[in-house]
Amino acid sequence: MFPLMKAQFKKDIRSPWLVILLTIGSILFTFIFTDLHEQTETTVPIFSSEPNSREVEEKWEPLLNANQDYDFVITDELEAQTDVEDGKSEAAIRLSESDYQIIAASNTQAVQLVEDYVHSVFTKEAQLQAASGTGNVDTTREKVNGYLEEAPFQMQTESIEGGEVPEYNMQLQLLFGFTLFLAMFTIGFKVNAVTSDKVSGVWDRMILSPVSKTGMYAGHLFYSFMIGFMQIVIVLAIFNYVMDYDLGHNFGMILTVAAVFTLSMVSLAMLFTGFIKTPEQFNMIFPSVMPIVPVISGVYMPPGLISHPVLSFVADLFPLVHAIEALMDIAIFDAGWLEITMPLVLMLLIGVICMGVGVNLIERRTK
Amino acid sequence: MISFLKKDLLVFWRDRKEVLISILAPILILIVLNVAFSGISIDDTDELDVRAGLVLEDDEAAAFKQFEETLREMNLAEMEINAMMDQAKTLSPSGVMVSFFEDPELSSWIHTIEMSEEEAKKQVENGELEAIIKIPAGFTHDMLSQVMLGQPADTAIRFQIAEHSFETDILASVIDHYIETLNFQLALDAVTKDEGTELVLPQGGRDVISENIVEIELAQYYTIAMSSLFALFIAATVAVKTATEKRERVFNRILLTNSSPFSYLMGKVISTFLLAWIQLMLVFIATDLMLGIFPEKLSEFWLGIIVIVTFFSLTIAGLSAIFTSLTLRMSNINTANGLFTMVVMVLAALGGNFFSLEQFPNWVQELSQWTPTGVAIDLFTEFLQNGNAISFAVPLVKQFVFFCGFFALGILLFPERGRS
Repeated sequence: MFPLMKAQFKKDIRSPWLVILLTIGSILFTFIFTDLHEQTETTVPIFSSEPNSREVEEKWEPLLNANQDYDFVITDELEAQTDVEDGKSEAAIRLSESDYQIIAASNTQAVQLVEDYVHSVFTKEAQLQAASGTGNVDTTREKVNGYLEEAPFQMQTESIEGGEVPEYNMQLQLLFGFTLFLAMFTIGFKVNAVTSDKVSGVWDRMILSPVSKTGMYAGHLFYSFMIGFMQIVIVLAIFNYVMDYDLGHNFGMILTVAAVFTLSMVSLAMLFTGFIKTPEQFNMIFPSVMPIVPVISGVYMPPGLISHPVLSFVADLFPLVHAIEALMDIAIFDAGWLEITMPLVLMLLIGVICMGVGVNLIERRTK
Repeated sequence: MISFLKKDLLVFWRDRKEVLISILAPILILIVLNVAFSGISIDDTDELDVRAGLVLEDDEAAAFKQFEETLREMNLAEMEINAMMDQAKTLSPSGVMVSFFEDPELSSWIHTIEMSEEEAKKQVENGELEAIIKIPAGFTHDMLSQVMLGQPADTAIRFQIAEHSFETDILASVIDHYIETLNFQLALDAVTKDEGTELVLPQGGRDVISENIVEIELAQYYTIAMSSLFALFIAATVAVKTATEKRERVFNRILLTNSSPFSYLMGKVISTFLLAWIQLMLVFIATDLMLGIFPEKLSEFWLGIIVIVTFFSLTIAGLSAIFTSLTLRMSNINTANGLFTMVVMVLAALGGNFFSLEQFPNWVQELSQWTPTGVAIDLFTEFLQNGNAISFAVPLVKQFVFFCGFFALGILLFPERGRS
C-alpha cells in the first residue's frame, strides 16, 4: 500500500500542476463569485419635462431614494431616454408635480417592481398632501414619521423556541459549494489513476508482485483521499485564517465533515471507474455528470428553492448535499456533533455502497 | 485531411456510449432544472405555495369587554364610551390581520391554517409549515389602548420560523408591507385634524418603447446557458481523447508520415464541430419537444437558432484545436484535463453559464462580451427578445474571429517532430 502511495506521490511531485491549478482555481473562483456577487443597487434615471423641472426633480429625488434597492439619479431627459433604449437602464421615470410616468424598453418583471415602488412613494405623498390640507406637507410628514417611530402594529421575527433566527449566509454556501465542487474534480482525476495504471500495464505487473489486491486499491484510494482532502483543507484554511471569512467557531468539525465528504467522493469516483474501460472514457463521463450535482443539490440557490421530491431524492444520492447541509449547520447554526450525525452517516453510507459496487464492477471486468 | 476526419469520427463511433452520455447530459440537466424551477417564478404567484400556521392566542370578544371596562374606569360619559367602542370595533386589530390572510387573492398562494401553538410548532419542525404567525394574548387590548388612548404598548405579532428560506422571506415581506400600510393609515388619522383636502392619487402610467419585446423566460435562459456549457466540455473531451493516440503511439506514427499539423487539427476541428452542432441542435429540439420551451416559434426562429448554433460550434471547434495541441504537449493527461476543466469553468462563469451576470460590476459584464459563451448567450437572448430586428453581424464576426484565433493558436502550439 505505502510503496504504491509513494509512487503516486512521486508522480504528483514531478508534475504537481493539476493539484496546484485546482486549488488556486477554487480559491479564485470562490473569491470572485462570492465577493462580486453582492446585490448592487439598480440605478434608475429620473427627469422632469415640466417648466419648473429643477424644483420637481429636487422634490422627488430624496423621497424616492429613501430605500436600499434603487438609486434614483437625476438625469437629462435625452440621456435617460437613450439609456432605456440601449438597455443600459431597465426604466426611467418622468416626474411631474404629483404624478409620474415610467419609461421602459419592455414590460419586464424588473420594471413592474420599480413601478410598484414608485407608485407607493407617490401614493404616500398624495395622502400626506391630502391630510395636511392647506398646511405644510413637511410638518405633516414629520408628525407622521414621529408617530410611525412608535407604530402600533409591529412584527417580530423569531425562531420557534423564541430566540433569534440566524440570517442565512448565501456567500458562505457558495464558498463551501465551490470548494467541494472543484475538489470533486481533483478526486475524480486522482481515482482515474487506477484505470490509467490498468491501460498502461502497471496494474498487471503489480498483480504479479507481492502487493496484495487490497493494498493496491487501498494505496490508490487513500492517496486520492489525501490529495482531495488536502485541497479542501488548504482552501478552507486560507478562507478562514488568511482572508478572514467567518466559517463558524469550530474549524475541527468542518474538517471532519470535509474528510467524510472526501471519503464518500472517492467511493463515488470508484463507482464511475467501475463502468468504464479507459481513462479517456472516465474523462468524458465524469465531467459531464459532475456539474449536474451542485445544481440539483441546490448549491447555487438559497435553501428552499428546490423542493421537488424526485429531485431531492436524486440529490440525496450524492454526498455533496449532505456535506453542504452539515457545513452550513456548523458555520451558521453552531450545530453540535449530534446534529450533524445524520449527514455524516448518510455520506458514509453512500461511500460504502459505491465502493462495494465499484470495486466489484472493476474486478468482474478484469476476469 | 479527409482520412484524419474519418479517423476521428471512427474514434467517436467506437465510444458511442460515452459520446451519447455527454450529448444527453445537457438534456437531462435541463429537464431537471425545468422541474426544479416550475414551482417558482415570482410572476406566477398561483404556482407558489406558502403554508403558515395562524395561532390566535388573543380573544377579541374578551378584549373588547376589558377595553370597555378600562374606558369606564376613566369616568367617561356613556355616549363617549359607546362611540369609542364603535371605533374600536371598526379598528379590530386582530380582525384586520386575520381577514388579511383570508383575502381570496392572497390565500390562493399563502395558505394560513388556524391551529394551536403546539400543533403549529410540530408541523414547522417536520416541514409541513414554513412559518407560524402568532397573534399573542392581549394583542387587541394593547393595540386599542395604544391607538385610542395613546398608551404605548409593545405587543408585536410574532413571526416564527425554523430558518430563513425563500418562502419565509416572501411571506415576511408581504406581512411587513401590509402592516406598514396599516400604520401609515393610522398615523395619517392621528395627525389629521379634519382640515384635509381631497385625495388626488397619482395616475402613473407606463410608456413602453417597444411593445413586442418578450421577456426571456428562465427556462429559455437555462437552455442556452447549459447547452453552451456542455458544448465547452465537448471541446475538452475531444482533446483529451487524443491521449489515447499518444499512448498507443499512433500520434508518433502520424508525425512520421509528415502530415501537416493543419490537416491533423482539421480532423479534430471538423469532428468537434459536428459533435457540438449535433449536441446543441439536439438540446434545442429535444427540450422544445419535451418541455415546450419555445412555444409558437416559426421556421424563421429555427433558422436563427441554426445560424447561432453553427457559429458557436465553430468557436468550440477552434477551442478544441488549442486543447488538442496542449494535450499533445503535456506529459500528464490528468493535468491537461484539470487545466481544461479550469479554463472551461472560468469561461463559463464569465460567459454567464452558471448565473446571469446582471448583478455583477460593469467590467465583468464587458469582459463577458469577449468570451465565446458570453457572445452566444447574449446573441441568443437578444434574438429571443427582439426577433429578427437585431443585427447578427457583430456577434457572428466575433465568433468567427474566435474560431480563426483559436485555430491559429492551436497550430502554433502543435508539437514539433522529435521526442517531446
